[in-house]
Amino acid sequence: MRETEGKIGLKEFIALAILTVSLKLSNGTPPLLFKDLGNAAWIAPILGALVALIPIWIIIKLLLLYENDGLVDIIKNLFGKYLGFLTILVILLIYIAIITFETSEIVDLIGTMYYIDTPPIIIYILLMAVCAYGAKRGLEQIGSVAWIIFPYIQVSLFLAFILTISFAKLDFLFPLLGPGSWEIAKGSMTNSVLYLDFIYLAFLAKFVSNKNIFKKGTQIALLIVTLEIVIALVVYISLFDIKTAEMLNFPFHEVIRFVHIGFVSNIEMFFFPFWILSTFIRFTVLLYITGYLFSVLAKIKQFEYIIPAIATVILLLGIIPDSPAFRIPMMIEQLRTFSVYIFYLVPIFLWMRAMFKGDFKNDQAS
Amino acid sequence: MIKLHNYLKLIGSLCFLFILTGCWDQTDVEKQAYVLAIGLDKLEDTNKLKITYLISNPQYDSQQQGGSGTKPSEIFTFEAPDITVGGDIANAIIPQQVTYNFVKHMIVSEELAKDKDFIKSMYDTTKLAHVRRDLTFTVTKESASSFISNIHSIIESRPHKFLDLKVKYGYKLGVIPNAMLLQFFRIFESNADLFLAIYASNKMPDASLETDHLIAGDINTAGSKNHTQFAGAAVFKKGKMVGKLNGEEMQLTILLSETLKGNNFFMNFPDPFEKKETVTTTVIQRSKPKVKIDLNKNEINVHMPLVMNVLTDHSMTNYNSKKNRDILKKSIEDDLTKKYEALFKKTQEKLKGQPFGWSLLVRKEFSTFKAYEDYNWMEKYPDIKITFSTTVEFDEFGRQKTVPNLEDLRK
Repeated sequence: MRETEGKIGLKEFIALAILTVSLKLSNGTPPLLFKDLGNAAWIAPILGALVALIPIWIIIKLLLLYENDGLVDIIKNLFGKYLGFLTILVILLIYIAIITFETSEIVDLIGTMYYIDTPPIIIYILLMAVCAYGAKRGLEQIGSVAWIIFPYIQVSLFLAFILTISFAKLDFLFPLLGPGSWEIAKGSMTNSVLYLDFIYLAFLAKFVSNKNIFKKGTQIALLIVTLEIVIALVVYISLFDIKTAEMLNFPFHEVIRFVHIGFVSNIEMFFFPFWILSTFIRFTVLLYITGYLFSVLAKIKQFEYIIPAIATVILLLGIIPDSPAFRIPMMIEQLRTFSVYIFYLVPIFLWMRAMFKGDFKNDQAS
Repeated sequence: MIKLHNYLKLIGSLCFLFILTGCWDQTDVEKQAYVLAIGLDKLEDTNKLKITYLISNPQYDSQQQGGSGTKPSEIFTFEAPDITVGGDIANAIIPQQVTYNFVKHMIVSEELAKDKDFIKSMYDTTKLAHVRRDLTFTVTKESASSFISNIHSIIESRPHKFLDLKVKYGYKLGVIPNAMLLQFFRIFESNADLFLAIYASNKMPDASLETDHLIAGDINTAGSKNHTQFAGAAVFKKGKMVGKLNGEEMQLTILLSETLKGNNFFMNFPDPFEKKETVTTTVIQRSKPKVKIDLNKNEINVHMPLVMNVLTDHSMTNYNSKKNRDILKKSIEDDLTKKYEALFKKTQEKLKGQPFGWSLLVRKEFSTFKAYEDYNWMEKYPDIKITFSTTVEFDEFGRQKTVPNLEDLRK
């Protein structure tokens, strides 16, 4: 191995973070937003990002305060041995549930939209195999791959959106307040869980070359991801109108099925490879973080080796649901209402504990 | 050693190319039958459909020297409960696997479109993996199967290409709407506007009957064997066909519409200087019409600025004088206003809804979606008072701007 010792730099971290989070604009997340917020769904990522800034900011502050510790060490130090273990366990279980539901959803998507005759189990095995292999290779390589494919994915994504311009009508965004201002506030709050991944990415802060770079990377990634999700939602609403958009399972894939470049039609297979690559990046990163958290709990040194095992467990859990098209979004929704507490409460408790311990004062005094 | 290692890596990665084809979804081009247009007809007394497929023949070469006997396409008609299982039933006759990958046109007979259960079969298209939302949507006067099988054009012998060109050029002229499944579902689901589908026919009108102007199936043609006509629109309300617009009404609708775009139409107006003659102009819309909606007073105010090129002068009027131009301008403005008032009357009294996409403007008057839905624009539209005004400006008067005065010459 080279001198970087498995650490990633700013550009790799940004690419990795953006690809990880922005996949939410092309999976089953937009329909959930439409369900809560109707045609005002595009406001939710903006307000949600503002609310989500609080826990993310707290985590960054804590990471900068305890310069030599990763987030895991901070949780252990501040919460003590047993409570810390429990917190990390809950966080890990939530993540495993998220990966299970989301991979199951992606497999459902690929099976209904692209590979119709292929058995879902084969798609699932291939997806998990690729992601587990990627995760086992380590963060440095995931980062490089993310950085290499990042521009292509962004270009293909925006090409798809630009091609809708002549059919889209921004008037569909009206009435601006959608379901009403109170509903928007409430919906933005629950949906700020969109940015939950940033907390999990903070566990990787240890593997970023230094903490200031992590801070900067998170800020830039958060900004770009918010913009991307907002643009995507605006495109979906203005192309399909809200009533239709609400009923689509996967609006992004309907968009790439609809657009054509001049006389060239049937171009969804031009976008699909880039999209599937970003899917691989997301689940690779998610698996890597899961493996890392598990290794912390089980005190395993070389955690790369347990990632295939975790992937297998997820695969076995993911194939259980019957009629996944209905079950999975429902389960994701329930999980979301639960994980929103973790998203806010854990950082706030960490912050309060650090305050009581007086660590912030020490920092200022020194 | 290192070099050998690299070669091995290269060969190893090339092996992955073999699995790129997929295993279960692997399909050979020549083992597929590409449906290019689907025709739907009602089957009497049942809930079944009569489905017609227009399947292209890939062996047909448009450049070929005549005489080899291959036909550009094949047409099959059969009965099936829905279009999804239709593919399998079709395989009883067709050796290849039927695929919907390249379907471009959805053709529905007027009889089926007027059926209240029609919308149910349309939703099959949202479930099928390969059907896109950019299919054009056409309603035919006769049955869809007879429409599809009677397209005989010598100039464009491939029927699917013929349909493509017809739809594209017809929209450019403004006589048919731009109708895709996307808009069909969008308008049906938002339930505030009327959807316009392309209206087409293959029939010649009865010579004895007086023909309506410019609507498919009413245009007298002679000479060619091909009578396929695309003109006018079928109007859908709540997923069911309720009426028709003719070609001229269609042009007026496009000029006014919020969602349809069009420009440079040919339009015909009565000549103010000689009763029997007409003036042909191209209508250019440089800016969208200003539509002011006042929901409190239940009023809509439309002002439409238009630019026109005057292309004919059968009354041989000298348009050098401003007075003559003003008379023509006034006459055209009056005639347009009259036509629009008739169109508004038709939409309010007969169709009870508007195809102009005005729900987009009404939306902006509300702050929440619930308030907008409670207002129920579709129900309110027939009682709204619409005032229309237009200002016409002239741009060009053809290549030669004046014509000689006929009366002077014949003295």
